[in-house]
Amino acid sequence: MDSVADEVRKELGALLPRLRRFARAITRHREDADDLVQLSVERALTRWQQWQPGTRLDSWMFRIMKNAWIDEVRARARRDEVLAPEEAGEHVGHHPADQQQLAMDVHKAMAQLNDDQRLVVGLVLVEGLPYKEAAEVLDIPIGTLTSRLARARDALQAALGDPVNGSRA
Amino acid sequence: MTTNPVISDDLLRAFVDGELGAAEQARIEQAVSADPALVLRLAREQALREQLRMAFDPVLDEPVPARLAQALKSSEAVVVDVDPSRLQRPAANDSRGWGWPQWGAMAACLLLGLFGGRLLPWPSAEDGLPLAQRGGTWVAQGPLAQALSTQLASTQAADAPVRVGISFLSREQRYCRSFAWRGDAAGVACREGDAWALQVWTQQARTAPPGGDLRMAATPIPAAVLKAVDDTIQGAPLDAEAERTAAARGWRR
Repeated sequence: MDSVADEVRKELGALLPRLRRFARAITRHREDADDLVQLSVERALTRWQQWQPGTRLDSWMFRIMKNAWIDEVRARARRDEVLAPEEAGEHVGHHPADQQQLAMDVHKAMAQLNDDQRLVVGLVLVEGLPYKEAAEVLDIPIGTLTSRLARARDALQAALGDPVNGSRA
Repeated sequence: MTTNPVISDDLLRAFVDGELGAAEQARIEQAVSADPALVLRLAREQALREQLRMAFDPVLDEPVPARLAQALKSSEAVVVDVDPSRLQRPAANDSRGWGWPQWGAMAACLLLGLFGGRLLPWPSAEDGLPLAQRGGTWVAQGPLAQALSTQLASTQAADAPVRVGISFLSREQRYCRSFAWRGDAAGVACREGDAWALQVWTQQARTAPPGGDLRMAATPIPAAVLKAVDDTIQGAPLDAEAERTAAARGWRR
């Protein structure tokens, strides 16, 4: 019985809700999000030896998810997009009634970002990774990360309006 | 330090993200306390984080789809300890259209045989399938029935002819189990009296020669089976101990 493999499985099980949240942030379709999680879990289980005990398993998984998303799922999502544009709100899921509209607005705003921007938003603003950790997941310098993040924030804030002063498009 | 330091957006955002050292953080806090315009800018940055949190955090409370828990178990029989609180399905207001009643009514008297996408005629005993028809319902028989009654997912052999996937309680409070049969068929069966009634059975064309390296464990679970589980399950799958207890009680509630 391999205890590291067991540990990876066990911790992956506990991570599943977060992996789904991250996937929801970087994909545009709800089904794509779970497909991405499933594919990434399967990949992780075939190469768990590459994970170093003591390092962050979440970051390791986010990296696998990023690569899987770029490699495979995105190509398919593009094809699907041509055939079946998503209906508004399909991606959103269950929310308390007062948050439903906000959630839809946020998903819409996220959909306007490019994939690189969605990845940094997903890692830093949704999953709360430190800049350094997120930059390592994406294999980019910190300066690149922060400038991508800044542009993504500008775009999101422009799309969502200014909640402080109440002005909305 | 200058008297009226300009706080850039980048600096303010790094502050909101918790990326600043103690000294710089204190400097921003002090600047904010002295400048109402800066308070508004800070609030705007905090609002974006809050909006993202409210949009995506509810995903954490959604039930994890059975196929993901299954993917974790797939390649070896190792018990996965998923936090059950994460898997709780909301009791009410599940608004998905294709719920258990429709599926159950259909599946109770139908077997779904997929063969290169075509529906097969009903399987018969001559096909060597571990199924029998009883009063309009297909039930497991022989080694499949035996395995469903006695085999535990947590202890089964990697090369067993029947591989049990997950065991769970249906919304009708019956015990159900997903399984794979000899690597080319899979299904879900629920306990009815002393029998295992098939809810769904799918079969694929054999793609590897007999004795080839098509391994049971590597068989992808068909979407129809995963959907049947997703649509049937009440709460979380049974953990290893609950599974053992249910088997010991003969799968009766």
